[in-house]
Amino acid sequence: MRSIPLLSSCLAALATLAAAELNLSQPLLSKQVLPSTFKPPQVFKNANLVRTTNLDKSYPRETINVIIENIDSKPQSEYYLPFESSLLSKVGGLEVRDKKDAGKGVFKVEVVGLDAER
Amino acid sequence: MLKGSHRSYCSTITQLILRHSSTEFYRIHLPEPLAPKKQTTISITYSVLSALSPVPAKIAQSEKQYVQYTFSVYTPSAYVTEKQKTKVKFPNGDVPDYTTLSAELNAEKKTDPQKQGSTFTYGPYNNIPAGAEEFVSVRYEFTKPLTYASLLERDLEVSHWGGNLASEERYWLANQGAELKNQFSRVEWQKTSYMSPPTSALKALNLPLHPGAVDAYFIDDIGNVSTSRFRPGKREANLELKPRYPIFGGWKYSFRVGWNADLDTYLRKLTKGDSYVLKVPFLEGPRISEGIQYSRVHLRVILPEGATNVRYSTTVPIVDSTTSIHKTFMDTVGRTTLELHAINLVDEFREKELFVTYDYPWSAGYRKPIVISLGMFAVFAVTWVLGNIDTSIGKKKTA
Repeated sequence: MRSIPLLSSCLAALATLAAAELNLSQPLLSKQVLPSTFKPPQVFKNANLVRTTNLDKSYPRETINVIIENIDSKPQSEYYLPFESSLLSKVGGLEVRDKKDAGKGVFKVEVVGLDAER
Repeated sequence: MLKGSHRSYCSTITQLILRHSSTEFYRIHLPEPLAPKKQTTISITYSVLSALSPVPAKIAQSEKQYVQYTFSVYTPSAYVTEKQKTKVKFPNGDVPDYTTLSAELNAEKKTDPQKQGSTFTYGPYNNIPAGAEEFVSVRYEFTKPLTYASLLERDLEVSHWGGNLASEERYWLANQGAELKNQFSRVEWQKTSYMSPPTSALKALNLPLHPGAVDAYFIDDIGNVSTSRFRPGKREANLELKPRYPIFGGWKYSFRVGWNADLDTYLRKLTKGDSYVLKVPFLEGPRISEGIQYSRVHLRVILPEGATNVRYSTTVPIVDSTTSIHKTFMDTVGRTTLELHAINLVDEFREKELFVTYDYPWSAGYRKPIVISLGMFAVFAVTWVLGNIDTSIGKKKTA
């Protein structure tokens, strides 16, 4: 009696043999490229900024706590943080959080490069 | 002619420099748009890899190591900054060299930096325009190895039949610290090793593994390295490695470690359908107090044959991900493999989890035994057929 499920599973396995397809997940693009004339729109100002550089470990750990203010007339949600290209290639583990409300989790960040050819 | 070519050479260099010094951005998406005239406080954290350079670049074997860090006291920003300051926290008070800035820049007319124990403060500065920079350097004592992994390959192999999760990690380590001024002296090393003074050499690595890890191994290019200790425990299993030689500045060491673990603690079957969820740490590397930098991390999750619909989620920033097929012994269609690539990680990412979900129909698990039994059956059938062929010479006996 026990052999019946085994047999049926064997048959099913044979059936899937031919039809083994893969779902390929989309590769993530790490970088968006903008034209070289791009300048971040001046919609914010940093009211107060305190940076702490921690040199306890074999790599410097930077923490920037900044009060940002919207000086535009419309609501804004994109804040730009500039790095020199040579420095950007060495920056790792960049995380942005809400200082007052840690429960909001890590904000979405992405690297945007400028098109050097144009 | 020569002059002309020289000039064009110079101009290419300037072009290269110009192109090289272009600015790129991190775009931060605030979860909800900030209304006009409203303020919010955000906290940005990041690490800078390969940022410390040993000065002097060559030291004696048991000498103190000093490293230099150069940064801009004006925090790079794309916006006007009304008020800002930079605090630098040193590991100790031994800071022989640092850049002093004139009191005119400072908003409170103090000469920077202001010292308070092992913390230096530059600033406050008022109304700094976007993109302004003022570079300063600090040099401080750091008699610890600057451990840097140029590449870490980490494989996780899931076996449903064996109920096993096999992990293997391959490291290409280097010490970015100060090089030895003279030859390495084994006598001096042995003399001081009993007192275990601070040293710029990497002596040992400690890998805290999850409890339940078994069959640990530590191999390098030569073969098994016997100077390792594996201590299984209830809270964590400790794998203590000692490289074949102390890794001084500029020296390299590559090795591999691996272990097995019970799959039940990492894998859950969803109640609906044939879906499984695998929860594994993204990094399980060494834990040392001064930290490790990883330039590139290639993580491969090798799922069983016939696993489909592979998805993953992790808080580690991933540069690239692919799903491919990994073929190994006795495979029929090959194992579905999820490959994740990350760059510029530090050992703080040890705590981050990786979730992989995939569909694995129960029929897929039977594929391999069936193929193997069919193969065996085919061998017997062929033997039987071949055995029946009459190869005798002469007439058949028909009696």
